[in-house]
Amino acid sequence: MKNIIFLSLLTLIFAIILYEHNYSGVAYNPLFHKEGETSGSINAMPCGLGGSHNHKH
Amino acid sequence: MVTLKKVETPVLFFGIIFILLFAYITHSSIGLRHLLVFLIGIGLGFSLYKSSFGFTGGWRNFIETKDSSSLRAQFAMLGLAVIVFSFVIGSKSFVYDGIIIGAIAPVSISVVVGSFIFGWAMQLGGGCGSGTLFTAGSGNTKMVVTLIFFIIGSLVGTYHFSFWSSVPSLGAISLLDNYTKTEVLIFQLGLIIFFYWLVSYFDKKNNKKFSQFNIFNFKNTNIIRGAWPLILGSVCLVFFSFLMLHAAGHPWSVTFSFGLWGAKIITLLGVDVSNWTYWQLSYPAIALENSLLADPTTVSNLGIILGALIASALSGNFSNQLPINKKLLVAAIIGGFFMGYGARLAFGCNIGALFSGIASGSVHGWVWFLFAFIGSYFGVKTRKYFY
Repeated sequence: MKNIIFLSLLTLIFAIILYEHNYSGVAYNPLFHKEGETSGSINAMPCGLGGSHNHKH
Repeated sequence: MVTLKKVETPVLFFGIIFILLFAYITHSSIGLRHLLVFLIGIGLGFSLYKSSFGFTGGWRNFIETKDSSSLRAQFAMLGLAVIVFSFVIGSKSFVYDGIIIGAIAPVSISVVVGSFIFGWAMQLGGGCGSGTLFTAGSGNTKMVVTLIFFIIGSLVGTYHFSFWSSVPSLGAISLLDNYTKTEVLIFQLGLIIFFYWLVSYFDKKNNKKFSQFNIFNFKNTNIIRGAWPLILGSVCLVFFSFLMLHAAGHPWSVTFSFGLWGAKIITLLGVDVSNWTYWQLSYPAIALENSLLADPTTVSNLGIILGALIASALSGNFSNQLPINKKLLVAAIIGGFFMGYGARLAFGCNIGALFSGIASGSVHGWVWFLFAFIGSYFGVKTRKYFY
């Protein structure tokens, strides 16, 4: 019973993530930048200060 | 040798179905690199669970009984990672056409305060950044509560970002940018070996049963279903971190996504966070605009949860936990909240700041380690009121 409740909760969370993905979409891919873009300078470390622009990596 | 329990087949199938689903969606609607980050996350979650690789319990064991096993495994992992990262950072990825960057963040008052708070809180919450994820994934209800409040704390941390970014700072100090690779390796490895020796010394002095080789002991020969020795966890975590560097282009990170999840949730509730200073920075702004699955830390965290779920189902230990009482719940709430808040102040948790920071040659990683350990000392004292 405990497992069923836990897995149902996980299913709900995963469903919300999938719904949100469908709703928001990917306007700008933080890993790819643009299709065909080859510059590594847009790479970003996702920590507190944000990306490379804020970090001066 | 420990006898293995029966595989929990329904839980295993649940995990496999969602792994296939997320793998398909990340690959088809985002791209190959997101799929790879997701698969690496699964490997990390599997390794964390199998080796019970946690910073919280390991630090507590040393503070309370001078048992250095887990700390020695962590130093072994750091040593290996320092070597691997020093050759990979600044080089070209073999997955995409770009340069790999390190986890470099400022050495500031906010790191000192944040890491102290994080170290204190993780002893109450019962897990660090990675520990909370893999234990929650393996069916631990208390850690789900910790995770929920971790998210809330992270969100509050992003709200206070403008204040904490204005406190005194020495700026980002990258050893690899200022010294030669050989000098950095000698300095960092020397420090790690010294700490390894120091914790071993205290362990040997206080415990008659001390063995330098206990982190190598297999409890079971079945590597898929049985528990792993700590050192195997160390090696696997460095291996998957190496892959993460090449796939994501940056080191493994955990807690950024917690703030993002919180921001997404309150946005759904009608609160506009896009005018908060933090969410106007380039990377957070992009992440907020996109779907959660476009954020690599979210994808790797989902992988960690599902990897741990699969590993626990194979071990027959899914949802195997001690009963929860009110005191434990309060500890999970306080611990989770302040871990989230501390991680935002300190530019990451034990993974993004300590592991990835030190391995990248960032001085903030060492500062994080020092103050989080001091915080943990007080956290262990506070923990006695709840556990």
